[in-house]
Amino acid sequence: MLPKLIGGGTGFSLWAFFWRRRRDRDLDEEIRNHLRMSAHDRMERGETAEQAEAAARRELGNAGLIKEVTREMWGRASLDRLAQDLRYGIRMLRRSPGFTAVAVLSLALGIGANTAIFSVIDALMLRNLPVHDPERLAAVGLQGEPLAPPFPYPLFVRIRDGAQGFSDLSAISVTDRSNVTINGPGGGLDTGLVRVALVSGNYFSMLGVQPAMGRAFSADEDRVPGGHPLVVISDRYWQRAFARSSDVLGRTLSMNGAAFTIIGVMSRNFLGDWIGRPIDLWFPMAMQSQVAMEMQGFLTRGNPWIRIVGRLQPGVRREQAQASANAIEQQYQREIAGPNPPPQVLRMIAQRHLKLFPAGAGYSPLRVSFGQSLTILAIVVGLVLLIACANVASLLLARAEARQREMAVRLAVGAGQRRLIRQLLTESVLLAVMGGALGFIFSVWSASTLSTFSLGPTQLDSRAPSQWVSLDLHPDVRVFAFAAALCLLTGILFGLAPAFRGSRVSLAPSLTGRGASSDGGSRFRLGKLLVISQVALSVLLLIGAGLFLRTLRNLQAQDLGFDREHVLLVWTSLGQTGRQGESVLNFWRTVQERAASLPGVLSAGISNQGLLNGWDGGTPDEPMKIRGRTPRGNGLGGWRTYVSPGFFAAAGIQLLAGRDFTERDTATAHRVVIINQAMAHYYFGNDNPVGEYLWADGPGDWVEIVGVAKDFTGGTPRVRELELPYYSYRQFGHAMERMCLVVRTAGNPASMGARIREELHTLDAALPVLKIDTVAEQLSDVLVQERLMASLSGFFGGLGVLLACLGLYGVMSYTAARRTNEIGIRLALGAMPENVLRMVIRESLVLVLAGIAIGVPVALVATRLISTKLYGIGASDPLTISGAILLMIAVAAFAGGIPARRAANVDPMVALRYE
Amino acid sequence: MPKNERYLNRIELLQGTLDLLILQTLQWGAQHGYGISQAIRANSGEVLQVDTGSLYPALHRLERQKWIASEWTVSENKQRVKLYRLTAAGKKQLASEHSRWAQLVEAMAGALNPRKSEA
Repeated sequence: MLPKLIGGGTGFSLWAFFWRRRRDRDLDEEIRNHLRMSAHDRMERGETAEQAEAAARRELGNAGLIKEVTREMWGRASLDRLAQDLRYGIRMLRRSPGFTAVAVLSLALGIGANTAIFSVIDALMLRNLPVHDPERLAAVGLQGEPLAPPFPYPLFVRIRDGAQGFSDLSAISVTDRSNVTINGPGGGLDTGLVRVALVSGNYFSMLGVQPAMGRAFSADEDRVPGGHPLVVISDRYWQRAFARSSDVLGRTLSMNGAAFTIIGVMSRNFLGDWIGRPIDLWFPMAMQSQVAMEMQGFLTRGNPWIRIVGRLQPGVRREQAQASANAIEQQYQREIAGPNPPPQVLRMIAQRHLKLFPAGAGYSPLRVSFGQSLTILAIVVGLVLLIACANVASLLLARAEARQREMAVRLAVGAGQRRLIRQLLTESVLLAVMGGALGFIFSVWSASTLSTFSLGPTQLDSRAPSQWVSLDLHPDVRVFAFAAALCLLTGILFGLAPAFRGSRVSLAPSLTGRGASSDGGSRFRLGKLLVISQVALSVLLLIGAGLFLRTLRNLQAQDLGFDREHVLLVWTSLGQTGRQGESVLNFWRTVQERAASLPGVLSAGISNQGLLNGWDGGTPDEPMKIRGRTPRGNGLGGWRTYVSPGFFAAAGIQLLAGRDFTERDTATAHRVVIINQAMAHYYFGNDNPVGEYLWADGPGDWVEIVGVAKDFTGGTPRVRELELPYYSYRQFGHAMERMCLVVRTAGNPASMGARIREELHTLDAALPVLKIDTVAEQLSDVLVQERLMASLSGFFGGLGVLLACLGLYGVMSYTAARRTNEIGIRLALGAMPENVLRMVIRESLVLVLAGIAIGVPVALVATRLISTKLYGIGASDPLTISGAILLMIAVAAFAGGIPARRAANVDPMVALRYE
Repeated sequence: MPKNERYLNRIELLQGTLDLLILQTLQWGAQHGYGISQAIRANSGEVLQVDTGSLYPALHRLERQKWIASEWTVSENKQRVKLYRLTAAGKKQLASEHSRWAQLVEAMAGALNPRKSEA
């Protein structure tokens, strides 16, 4: 194992290893010969054998040093020395397996955690798309919005045809389908989720990506609406649906009654430009109506639904292209607004500015929503690594004490101090490399766990940021380089101080075993400082973890406003099946009736927003207009929600005033709306809103408020008080796309899932059932970031405390052992063991309290940075802080108590004879 | 460490001279390390004491510079010994060091006895 280990990395071969060993033996023999001949000569001159040998040795001098200096003449000496140091280091580490295991493990955890978080950060924030010259890609967005909003297709056409500075401009829209049918042998309906992108014909050539097989679209294959039934499939989908069959080109797949010919298989490393949402199928933009039937005519309508990405011409700066695109957008908005727009519309247009963002790293809403959490986690794991380094440093310091004699011997036989430092540093880098190797393995495993856990395979709503996220987390060169750099850095960081300490040995006392306890105090001040900083960092981590844990608990315990025990949420998407108009409403009516009639089901209702869909508020809609009242403010949020009669009852949401929708509230009947409590309060104060009218944009009509529902959590528990109007989808015909069937059960709702899926399948085999969740499952999906932060910060906080206690234990054991003699005298003079116990514990408590005294103020400043992530709790929550302090003291008292008890039980006679 | 530095200093101090002496000694035939040190001592009338701590590093360095070569042979009393001999490059080096030494001696003499050179 040894030569191989050296062989890796240093360019140092097995051959060199044996070459060196042979030369070493030769040199030994040469020097031996010299001595022998010298003694021989002296004996011939009449000296006795002993005299001759002693004189020869004296004349020769320090043989070790002569060899050392001679070896330096061989060249490659530095490599030789490195090999020697490594060999020696490995021997030393093997000799104390306990120390090695603790050091390697704590470094592995520290480096592994950092590498895991870095690989997520790398995949999400840093890595460029695998495209040609990613630096020149630009995405169209809006000034002041971190994430580009969707734009209408006609605007894209204008910018593409009119803007200066782009060599290519493409439109992209991504949607999920689950009704793809593979035609031909081995095919069939693929009811699984298929991620579909509609792209401009020049999309692939704009990015400069090549298909692995077949061809990509040509620039004019998106000109004729409905005229280009072609599809490019991803490598993943080729695997999933065709098992990598080589005759896939020319085969067809069907969706919504249209057949598409497969013309290409994309190369394996291109997953689309949406990070975390890999695409399975790419269709030409012209096929929009066939692919997304629920969005008829979107190529000509003003609905915003596409992203715009382009490549800048060489030499053109983003600002130049931006100015040109912005002018076109302004013109477009003014045309939309009509000849005599009201002043507030003009103001809105004037305030709106297009902005070009760099797009080389792809598009990712996750980057915006998750970036802050990742930064916090990166800081947390960085702190853990610091604690681990401090821990290994104090272990090394204690070891350096134990190795004083060894160091003295090495100095005496002629090793220089620099050589000793190099030796000690080699050992610590060796530790770091071992820890790093283990940590790297640990990180590859934990990064994938982290991503499935944190980014969730299940979160559903299209407006929720993390829908079916899967990040490409294969460890690449950068991740590896990061881990390697971390190893070296930590190795030097924790090794340097102990190495300097360890190599500064005074020879005589160390060799004779005298003076062991005389200079210990000052030398070990560094060890104590390390413990104090470990405690300070741990307290910081504990406080952070406590805040995140309590945030999670607060959110989980939040009153949701509906029945969380007996509700099952079933998400389906009828829009994909291509049904239109009245048949949609009838289908949903049937679904609701069939579900309600199942045994074990109390009632059923339907809503397009569902419950707990993860939506966190977003940009507010325009203020509502109430008949006969002046509109209030701008702060009104909320989406219009469309529900069925019986929805409120099924979800267990109380109606505070008025009535529910009924079967009589049809499209032709008097239009009605139910508003929630927050909206009633916002617009009507304490007045009764029932009987008042508000303006509904859809039909462009006044609708009567017939009821007030209690507030409930439609999005996330963080956002409760949105002002929401509810309309009957039957009255407004708004039940196209994704709908949520809310089922109230008598017993455990989880047991009804399979039965309901079966029922839906018999109604329409092609109806995609996207997800069936209990409220608890949905809640854990929605709180995924909070759970992540709570569990990871809790885990790392615990790890930090554990490492800090190990450090404390080490330091206290060491100082107690050094003072054995003194303690013996105290005991012999009549001190009680309790006094000794108290004395040692007091000493460790001083260290812990010093650490706390530093850690708490730092935490008070640092937690302000995470205050936006907290809920129902202040950033300097006294309960959390005192809890963290108490926990730290308790654990530290335990860690410091063991050496204290050992010290108190010292036998005075043994202790006095100790030296 | 002071001890270590002392050795290193002496190597530097003697380097040119010791190299010349070694090459000169090997001119008469292959010799082992101890033999070289004894020969230098004897030829200098017991004046020059060759420090072993300088000798072996110098031998190994000269070998690396390919001015001398070494091989293990078995001596008359059946001992394995390492013998050094002069290479062709070493002979050239010896000649040039000789002339350099002569120049140095002349220059030193001139510097130390200026009146004599004036005369």
